[in-house]
Amino acid sequence: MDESNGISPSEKLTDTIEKQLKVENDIQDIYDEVLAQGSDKFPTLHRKAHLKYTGLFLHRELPSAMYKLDASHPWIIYWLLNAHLLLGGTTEDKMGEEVARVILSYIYETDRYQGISGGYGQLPHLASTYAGIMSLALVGDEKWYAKLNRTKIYTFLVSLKLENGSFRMVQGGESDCRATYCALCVASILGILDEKLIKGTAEWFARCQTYEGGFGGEPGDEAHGGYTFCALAGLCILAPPSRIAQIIDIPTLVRWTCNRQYAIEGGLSGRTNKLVDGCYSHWVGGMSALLECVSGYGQVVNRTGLQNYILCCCQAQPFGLIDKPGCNPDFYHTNYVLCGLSMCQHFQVYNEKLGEKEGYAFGYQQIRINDDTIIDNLEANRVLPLDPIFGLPAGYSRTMRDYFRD
Amino acid sequence: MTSFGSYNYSDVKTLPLDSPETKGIAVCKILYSEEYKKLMSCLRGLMAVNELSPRALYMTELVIGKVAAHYTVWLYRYKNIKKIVEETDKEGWHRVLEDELKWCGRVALANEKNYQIWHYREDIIELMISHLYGGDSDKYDVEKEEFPIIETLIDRDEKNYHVWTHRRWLVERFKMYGSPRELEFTEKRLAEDVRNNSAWNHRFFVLFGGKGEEFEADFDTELGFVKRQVCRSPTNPSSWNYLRGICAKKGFVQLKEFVTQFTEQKETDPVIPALEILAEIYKEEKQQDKWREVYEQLKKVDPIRQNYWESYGV
Repeated sequence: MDESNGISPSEKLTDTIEKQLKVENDIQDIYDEVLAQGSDKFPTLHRKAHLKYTGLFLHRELPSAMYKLDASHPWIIYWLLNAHLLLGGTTEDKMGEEVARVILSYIYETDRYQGISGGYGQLPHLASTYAGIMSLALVGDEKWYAKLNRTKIYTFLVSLKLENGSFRMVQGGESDCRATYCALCVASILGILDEKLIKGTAEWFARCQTYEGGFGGEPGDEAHGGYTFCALAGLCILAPPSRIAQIIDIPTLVRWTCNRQYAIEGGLSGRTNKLVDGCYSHWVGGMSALLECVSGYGQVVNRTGLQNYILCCCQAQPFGLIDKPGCNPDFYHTNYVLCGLSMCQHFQVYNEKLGEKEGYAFGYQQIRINDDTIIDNLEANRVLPLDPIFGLPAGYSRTMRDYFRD
Repeated sequence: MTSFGSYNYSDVKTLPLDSPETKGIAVCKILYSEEYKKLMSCLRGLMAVNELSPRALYMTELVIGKVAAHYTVWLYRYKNIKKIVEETDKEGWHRVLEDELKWCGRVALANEKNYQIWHYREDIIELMISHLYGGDSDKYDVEKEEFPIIETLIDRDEKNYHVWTHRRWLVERFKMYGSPRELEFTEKRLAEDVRNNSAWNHRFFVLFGGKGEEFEADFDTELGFVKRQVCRSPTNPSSWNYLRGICAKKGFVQLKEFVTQFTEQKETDPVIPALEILAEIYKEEKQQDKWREVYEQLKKVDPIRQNYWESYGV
């Protein structure tokens, strides 16, 4: 009981408890084994192996079973390439060019608007547009940026804007915090964020904050790590930290966020009474790093606990990163677990002058933590500093933004 | 001859799944099965000429059966349904839309985690209201049409986010704020698993979500309810969060006696959320020594959040 996440032995065995205890036991076994091996054997990042995983799938065709992701092509590219770069990989040879050509083949264009689709021959979608443009930012070559038509993309974004301040994913599709965040990222990095586009949006995000402190997908929905990330990162694009604190309830958000971390696992969950999952190392972890800036509060998430979870429980054999022990690796988890690892190793610092000059989203700077009491920042585990707002390693968003300066 | 089901597609000019411009590039090229390629290239051909027909509708069913996340196909399907509705008479509307709703249910059962299905279902419900019921949403039988499918899916995964979101949409759309039936639904789920946070959140929305709506919850009744749930499972963060939520405006002082029973027990460990509220009550009462003491205790019993308790304890 002392060590557990607070389930009393006398409580009725429900679905929640059964699943939670199973995960706690599995993870406790892993930690016991790690401790028994001695501190010099503590797991480090299997960099070479994971680079092999990302490199492999960036260079060859994907197995037929991946047709399930047929509407998510730009995501596949973004996850793989972002993970690859975070690990220290490069876009050498023709990789950058190939990625760019493939992303550009997903562009859907009419005489009025332009957006990126989930795959060749599909309709333009905000999530695909986000993932596609971030992928081009990762390639980092102006030659490809030039293929984006800002005026048409602006028209596309406006066409998806709703009266209430939020955005739809696609014409006739659903609107939620994800779609709204994607729209803001795209507009911000292309330098087309204006009053018309953002009218009512910050207030709409605020309406998604629940009594628990986190944010749901739409007003009234349950607080959820993914949507909370989208809401706070979206707000960081719309307003400086000092103003965000006036729009949303910061103390309950801090409370909800730090309660996502479990005592035994060290990893983060996405909702109250749900299980730990490596991907929330980014959705909740990355968000917490922004929240540290916004709240002026110290560390919201215990970075050592989270890094231990990532290194001991989220690395698959022979490669790739995962949700929790027993899961298979996939591109999504590989990217977001690594994003979370980066968050463990860095602070976000808001530079007011920079934010006022370049746009609030560009005011955040990443600083590597050199304090053993916060995190044991070993060279072997080092990943690139991540700019959580755009979900890109530091510097990439700025390069694209500078290209599109009016 | 190309045929699927009872339809002939021989005349459809099929389109490729990959861009000719990326020929020779392996990145992100899925090695589609022949079967999928056949279906999708035919569907792309139909979409390209915007054919709205029963055979196009059938093709969307086949592809969605393979990839439920194919938003382009969902939107195209909706266009087909709308067209069919426009072209049939009133009797036809019933058959088409009711069949469509049933089909939606089957797809939802086969794809528990999907962003498109529920939004699409809501669009179909809107079509039914506008065409079958002359715009009167009261005539749509929510209980008969919506609750069974929700029950089945929540039985399978009690915290399915998409399904709870749909339920929240129903409360908004059909003005079910404060509805005893909705409250019973959450009570039943909580009786089964009091740690089902989705059920708690839904309850909060039903009672307090309709800002500006006519309903106003009885605070004391609700306080009694949540207190009983806390007693069933004193370490359950969901019920404590809910308690904090409903008391947020009134302050916690009134909870002093209630929380003390969980902070002063000797035989088991102190309950963290109860200690947390106690510390906040002491703060409200400006009893500095006492609140500091409680935060010190919290730092010991909840070390992973040491930093959090530390910041409040000063």
